[in-house]
Amino acid sequence: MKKKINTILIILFAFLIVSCANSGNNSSNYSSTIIVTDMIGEKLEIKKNPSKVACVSRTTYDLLIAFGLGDKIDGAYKSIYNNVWVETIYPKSVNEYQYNYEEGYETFISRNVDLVFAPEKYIADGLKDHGIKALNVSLYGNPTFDEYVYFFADLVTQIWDYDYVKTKANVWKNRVKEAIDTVIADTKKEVKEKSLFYVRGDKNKGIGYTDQAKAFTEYAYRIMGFDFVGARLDTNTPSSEEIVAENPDIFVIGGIYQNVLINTLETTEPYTKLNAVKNHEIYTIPVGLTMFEQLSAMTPIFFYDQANKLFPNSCSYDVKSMTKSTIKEYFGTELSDQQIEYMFEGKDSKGKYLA
Amino acid sequence: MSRTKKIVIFFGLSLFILLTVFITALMVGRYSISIKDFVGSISTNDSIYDTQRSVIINLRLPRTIIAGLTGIALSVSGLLYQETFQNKLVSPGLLGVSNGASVGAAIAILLGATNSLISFSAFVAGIITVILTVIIGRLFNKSSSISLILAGIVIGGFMSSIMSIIKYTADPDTTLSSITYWLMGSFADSTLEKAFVISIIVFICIAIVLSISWRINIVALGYEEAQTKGINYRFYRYLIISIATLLTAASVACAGAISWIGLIIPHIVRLISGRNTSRSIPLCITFGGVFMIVADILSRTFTGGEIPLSAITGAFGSIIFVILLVIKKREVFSHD
Repeated sequence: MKKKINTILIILFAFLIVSCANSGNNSSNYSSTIIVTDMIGEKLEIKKNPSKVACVSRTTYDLLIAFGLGDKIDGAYKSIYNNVWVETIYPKSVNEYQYNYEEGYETFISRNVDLVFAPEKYIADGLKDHGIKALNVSLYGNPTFDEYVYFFADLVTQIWDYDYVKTKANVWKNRVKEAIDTVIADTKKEVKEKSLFYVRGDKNKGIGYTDQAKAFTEYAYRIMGFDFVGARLDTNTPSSEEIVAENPDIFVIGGIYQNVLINTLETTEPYTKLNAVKNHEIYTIPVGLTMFEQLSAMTPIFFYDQANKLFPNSCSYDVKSMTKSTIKEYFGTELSDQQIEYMFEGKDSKGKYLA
Repeated sequence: MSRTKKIVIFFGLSLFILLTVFITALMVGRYSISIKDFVGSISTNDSIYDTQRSVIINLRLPRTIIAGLTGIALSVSGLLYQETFQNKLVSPGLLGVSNGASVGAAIAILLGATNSLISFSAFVAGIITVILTVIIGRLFNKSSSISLILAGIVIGGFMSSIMSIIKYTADPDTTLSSITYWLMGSFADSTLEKAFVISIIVFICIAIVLSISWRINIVALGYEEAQTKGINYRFYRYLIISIATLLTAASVACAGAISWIGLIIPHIVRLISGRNTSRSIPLCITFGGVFMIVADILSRTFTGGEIPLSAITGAFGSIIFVILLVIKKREVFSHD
């Protein structure tokens, strides 16, 4: 009898040890998750080092590739792929899934996506309500973009605990800081305070489509010393009369419709009566894998390029060679000098206008 | 005071208001122009007024002309539909013309067409939709107004579902927002060329309508009454429907789908003129023009962007409609 009791005790003891060991494994699983905070301050526990992410928020796509995480991208918002430069600069993009802005929840589940970068709160909330991990990474800050320039780079280094990611992200951050400091230092003697109207040419919405105070462009042009007109407008789609009433000193036009919009400004009344048009102060922003004015791998070059155009007496940075080497470094593609020229003229890699 | 005298006074007064509102519309907007600058801009060639003159001629004049003509077109077409179908709750979109025109415009936007082509496509699609409605209505019953209204509901619903599919396939970054904005109505893309085209359509249609106004009164009495008066009921009914459709399609093509005006202006006018169309049509012209020009001024003056027209006409239209129902409550609710 005593022998039987001893046997039962030994079995129970062994079971206890095994249970403890399993419990240890569970705690090990728990440590493979991380709690992160998204752009609107919502905390979320997610798997560390996710292997499959969906970049529905377009500001995340380019930077993830630049930080060496291109192989983790399952797909991105489909309009990203409408830009013909994407395939030229990052040929692997052809194998990626093209997500809709409001993609069905089952798509993410069926594709085993670990994490979704959502562009808006309601999209992230909807995904989370259906058990899909989603972080809100918006194109806009609140109340301005000042606190969010390095947000995504920092978020990426929290989510992916790899040394090479941290190194690349830090290099990018330092380059952005250096670009800002250099441009501000080099232009401090120039007369500033000119009013600047930025035209968003990524959609075919005419001259009256701009960014407001929450956008990266507002941050960028403000720190360069300009009076960013969009920041004081009550809408991002001002009427023609509103633009005429503002009579900006400078127009800066980005996006694939930039050449169409320049033509509109130069040939349509009453725009032809504006100071910026009469004084030929209309400038463009290159379009690469993304528009340069969108927070991206090209952000340092955006500052140098705009400083060259807006402060020609003080700045002459070699932005074309910078662009060539940056694309080679981040995306592994060697573009020709001619292709870089096209990029700065708002054309595609074969020299055709983007729109 | 006799009704004729009363109508003459109302017409004279509303015509004066229309002219005043028209000139005011040229003077006000987000770009501030003083009365002195306004007078200088339109009466001299002085280069110091170049910008003001350009704003008045290139931005405000085309949209004010189109706003006035659109208001006239929708009000008159609303009146014609209401009289023809003997139904006071009918609006110009009854036979699916607005839905059809919207589909035409959306397809053109999807294909990247220019503003003029979008308007043309909307106009043609609006007309084709009404032809479809008439064909389907005749399959039900050749002479019944109800069959035509039912066909209008069916085709309108069908066009709405096509619109949903178009919106689903449109790129949210580019075409979808353009389609959505177009559907809410705006005079922002007005040009003098468009103003010229719509003015020809409106003037011809109004001239025909005025010349047959007494026949419209008879058609409004119904098939049997018209037969006893020796009127070719079917011919005139389809003629009136065609004119009303042309007016609506031209309006939607120029400014997008604008709600309420075609419903409420005829009601207001009938309070003054009664059902005689030879009296109500002239008042519809002045009242409709004033209403739409005022709506346009409101849409573009108080915010940096433009408030969609349907938001303004919807807000004012629903309030006015409630007031009208209160005024006419004895007539409307007399069966309760």
